[in-house]
Amino acid sequence: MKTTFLHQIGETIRNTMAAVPLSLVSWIFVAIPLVLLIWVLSARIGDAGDGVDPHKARWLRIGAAVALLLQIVIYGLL
Amino acid sequence: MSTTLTTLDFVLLGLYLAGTLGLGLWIGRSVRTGEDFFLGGRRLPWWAIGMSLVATDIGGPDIIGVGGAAYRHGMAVANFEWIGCVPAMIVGALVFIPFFWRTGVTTIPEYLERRFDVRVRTALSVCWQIFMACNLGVMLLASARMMSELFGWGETTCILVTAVLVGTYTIVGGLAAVVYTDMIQCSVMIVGCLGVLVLGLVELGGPAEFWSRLEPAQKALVLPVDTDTPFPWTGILFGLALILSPAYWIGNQAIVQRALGAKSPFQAQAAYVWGAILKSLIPVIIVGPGLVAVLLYPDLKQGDHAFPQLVAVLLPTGLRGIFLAAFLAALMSSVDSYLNSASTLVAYDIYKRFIAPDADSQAMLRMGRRVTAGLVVWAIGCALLMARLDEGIYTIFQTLMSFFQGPALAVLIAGTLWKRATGTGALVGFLGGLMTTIGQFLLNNQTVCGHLGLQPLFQIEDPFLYYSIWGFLVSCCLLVAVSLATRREPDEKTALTVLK
Repeated sequence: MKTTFLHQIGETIRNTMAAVPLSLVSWIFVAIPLVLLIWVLSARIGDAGDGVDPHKARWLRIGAAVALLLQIVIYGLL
Repeated sequence: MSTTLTTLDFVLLGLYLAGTLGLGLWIGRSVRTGEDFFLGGRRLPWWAIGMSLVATDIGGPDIIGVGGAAYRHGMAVANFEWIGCVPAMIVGALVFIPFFWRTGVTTIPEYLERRFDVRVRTALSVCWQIFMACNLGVMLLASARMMSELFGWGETTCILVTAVLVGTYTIVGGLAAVVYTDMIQCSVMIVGCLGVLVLGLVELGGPAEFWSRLEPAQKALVLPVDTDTPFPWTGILFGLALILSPAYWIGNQAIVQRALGAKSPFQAQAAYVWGAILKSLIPVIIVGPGLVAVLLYPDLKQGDHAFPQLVAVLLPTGLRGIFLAAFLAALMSSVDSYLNSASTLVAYDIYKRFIAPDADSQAMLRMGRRVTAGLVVWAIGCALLMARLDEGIYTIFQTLMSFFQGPALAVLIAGTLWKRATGTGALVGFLGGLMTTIGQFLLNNQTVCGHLGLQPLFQIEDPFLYYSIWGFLVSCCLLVAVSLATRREPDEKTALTVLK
């Protein structure tokens, strides 16, 4: 069976990715919702210009934070 | 494997179906204009939309299929509901959804015409229409096959009954009927699947016993690159979390249309956040039973038999009827959504854009209902035709049709975030990405590779996550290169169509 340059590119990427420790990858899965959580908590929701009432914006922020916290707990524990 | 149903099961099932149909028809009484039909009159509340988002995302075959995948591959399949949904939903809620709502568009392709040009709108809309039309047939057939296997009913009967039932309330009630019936369906689905999980856990001696008996590999969410499952971490992270999931939650008409029907941008945002919280819980009830089945029945020949086996053995009379209602709820909530969204795309992107630009609200309502009825007939015909073909054909067709999601995301992201992106760049990027994904699929196909004497391009089973990565990357490169080489779009065009 022949291979092409596409196979070689794929093999190189595959070997590079396989060298990344799984423990580091697990942290990346935790880091994604964590970074988003920090962004949600610091985002300018409800400030002048976006039309969302600040009181409602606070609930939006809390809801988003809960969803992301659940993800952090799930990927942190499993 | 067939499950015996009693009179009580049929009564419960009948009550559920009658209730759904009645609710849909009752809502239909207040549908008087095109906007009522396609966007629920822009009066939909966040709590109903959020549940509808979740229900739409989980089809009947998904309940069985995800449980089956958990049986075969362990918990990694839950990534599709967690990292494969929640981050994109939150970003969508806070950035993209309120922006689309404020533009006042009815379809995502309509936004792309405002941002780019009619070529981009038509290319994406046609892809979505073909995908949705075929997917309707695939969903009906896949569900009918499962119902046939589960309950011993005729395949044709299952197709006809489901299509007529869903079609009736969708034609009459439009998006509002879809969203409110989805809400009921989401609740029924959660109750039905939760019942299966709880009884399974009781049989095993409780949650602690269940968890301790699972192998570490079955509990793992992050799998190595050389895993023999379709879920290596590279595919999950780069293909699912970063490409397919945003493409689905930000660019799928069937999903975004609900948010466009919200009362306000805040309601649309809240719906996505509420949906994201619900999504965090969904794997517990659809992946959990698959894992329970591994411990209770480790020798099943097929993973897809896991859920039916639990239903047949564990559920008492009455609860089986509730599970069947849950299965039908999951099926109906997906079919009704695709029916309504496909008709919206045809009505706005083809009929109003090219055939009758002056069509008033009443004409759009009539057109919406006619197209929906036509799609029901199409879906039935498509499902019956595919039922007579080789089983692999519809699976391949569905896979092929989903390849445009990566390129579509590239176009949407560039359109909303990069002012310098041009119409020609977007069109070339989209078509180039599409050709890339189709090319990869062909170079991975056993028959094609056999003829060419080549090794398959990928080493894992069903590498659809990888197709989306490459499709997205090629689209981005072409889009950037061609945009920089072509004349920039006028400022008055980008002023209201690019996020600041």
